[in-house]
Amino acid sequence: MIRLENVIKHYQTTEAVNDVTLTINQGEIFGIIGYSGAGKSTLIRMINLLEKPTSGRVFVNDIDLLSLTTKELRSKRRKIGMIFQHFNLLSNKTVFENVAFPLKIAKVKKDIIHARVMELLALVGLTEKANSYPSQLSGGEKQRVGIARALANHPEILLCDEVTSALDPETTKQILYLLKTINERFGITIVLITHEMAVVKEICHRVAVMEKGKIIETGYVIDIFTSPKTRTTQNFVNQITDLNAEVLTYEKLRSKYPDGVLVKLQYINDNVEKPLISSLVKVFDVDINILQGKIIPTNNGSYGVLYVQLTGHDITEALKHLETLGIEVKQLD
Amino acid sequence: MTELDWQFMFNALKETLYMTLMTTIITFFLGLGLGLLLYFSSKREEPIFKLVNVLISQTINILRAIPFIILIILLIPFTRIIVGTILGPNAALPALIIGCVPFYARLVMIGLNEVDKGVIEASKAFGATNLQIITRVLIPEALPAIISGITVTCVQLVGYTALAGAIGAGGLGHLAYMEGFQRGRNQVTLVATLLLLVIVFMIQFIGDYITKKVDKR
Repeated sequence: MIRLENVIKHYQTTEAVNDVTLTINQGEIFGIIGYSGAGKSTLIRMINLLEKPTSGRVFVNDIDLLSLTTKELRSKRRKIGMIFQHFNLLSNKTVFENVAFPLKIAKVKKDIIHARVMELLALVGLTEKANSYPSQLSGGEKQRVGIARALANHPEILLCDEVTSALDPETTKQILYLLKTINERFGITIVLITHEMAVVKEICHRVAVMEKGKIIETGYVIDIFTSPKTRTTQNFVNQITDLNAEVLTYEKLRSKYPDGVLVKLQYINDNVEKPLISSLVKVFDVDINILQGKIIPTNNGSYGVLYVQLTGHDITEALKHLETLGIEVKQLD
Repeated sequence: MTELDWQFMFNALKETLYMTLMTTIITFFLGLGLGLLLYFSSKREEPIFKLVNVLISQTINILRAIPFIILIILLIPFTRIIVGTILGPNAALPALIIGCVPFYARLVMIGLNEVDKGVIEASKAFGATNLQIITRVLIPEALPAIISGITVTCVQLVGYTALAGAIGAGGLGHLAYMEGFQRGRNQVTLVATLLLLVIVFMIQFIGDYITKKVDKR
């Protein structure tokens, strides 16, 4: 378990992290989302004290990291793996040597190192590349080396610093899938920072939204999607759920569908599976025209967004009925 | 070819190689150490490190600004105390070393500065000690620059040995100047120069070869 208590980080002129208190549970994938400059990069570095907070306390498994000696901190850091946006591999060392690096530092015996490195390379699917140099690898492969290296010392926590931001969407998916597998198979707590809601949606259990050095909202991913409390959070959620602005704006929709009312429906979990629309049409005197829709699977269940046009006599009743089913109804007009 | 005494030439060559080799080895270690000190002191905020950095940095600047021939003359009393004489290849070593180390230390520092900060951060995150960061990260990552740096220094050093030779250190420079120039034997000067050129080309070739070998970027 990771606990940050009232941590503050001042730089000369700016306040990168401004009084953050946060608890991350054992075994969860916790996302911290924010725009660049929000302080998330500084925040994640306080978990292994690469950045020392100006004030506040940092606990990892109930040990106050700030109370440790340099030596104790170093051995604690071996149990906290970290992967990076730009991979940060040793360019003059092979893949094998890169993964062996944390073990060599920890003075692990040579034959144990060999076995462990081969095991890790198999896990990330790079056995064949053991003797390649980083310059010969693709971005996705480099990040896999980074992941294997971070896992070398059997860490309890894995810190991920914008690990997919330098990768293309397909590779991003593969890396996120690998992280999810690692979380499930080894029970490693994963903390990741990102500016992409798609990453959060894909693998996180809980998420904190950061802005100007503060955490402005924390919650289960599904709750953040369905009821964002702040403007910034809403913007992040919109990255996923919005009308595709280039193709459809409200004005365009309206001019194309002048009749009835235009409604945005949002619903979670069970409701997604029920035949909502057809039952609505049967019970009420309405016609429903689906304009755009999305179902977004998250780690805490699915979440659906539908943009529909309602025409007919019973529009008000139909909408009320939907609300009683726990569906969030928002008229666009 | 009566003018050319090959035994003389061979001895001079040996002296030049001796001076070059000894100075290179000592410069390599001293320059690397000083370069690391410069690098680390420039990264720290504490006043003591800042002071150390300014002191080393300025000493290097001053030593590099003094023309080598003047440096030899200035160092004569020092050489006499350390080596006991101001003649012969050994007497040239202090001046050669003091002439080369600052230059090489600068090149080492530039090489270390080129090492990706992220890699160093990653090493810290994995619990590396400062010593481990030096031996396992900084030096291996900067190795191409460290080797090409010693190559450049070494080439310059060959020129310095010739200069030192002219004022009594022996070697090919001495031979070319005293036997060749002063006595008007052009052949001696020519052969000595050719040998110096061969040495320089060899150094450059070997240096480039190793640099290429260790550079995996």
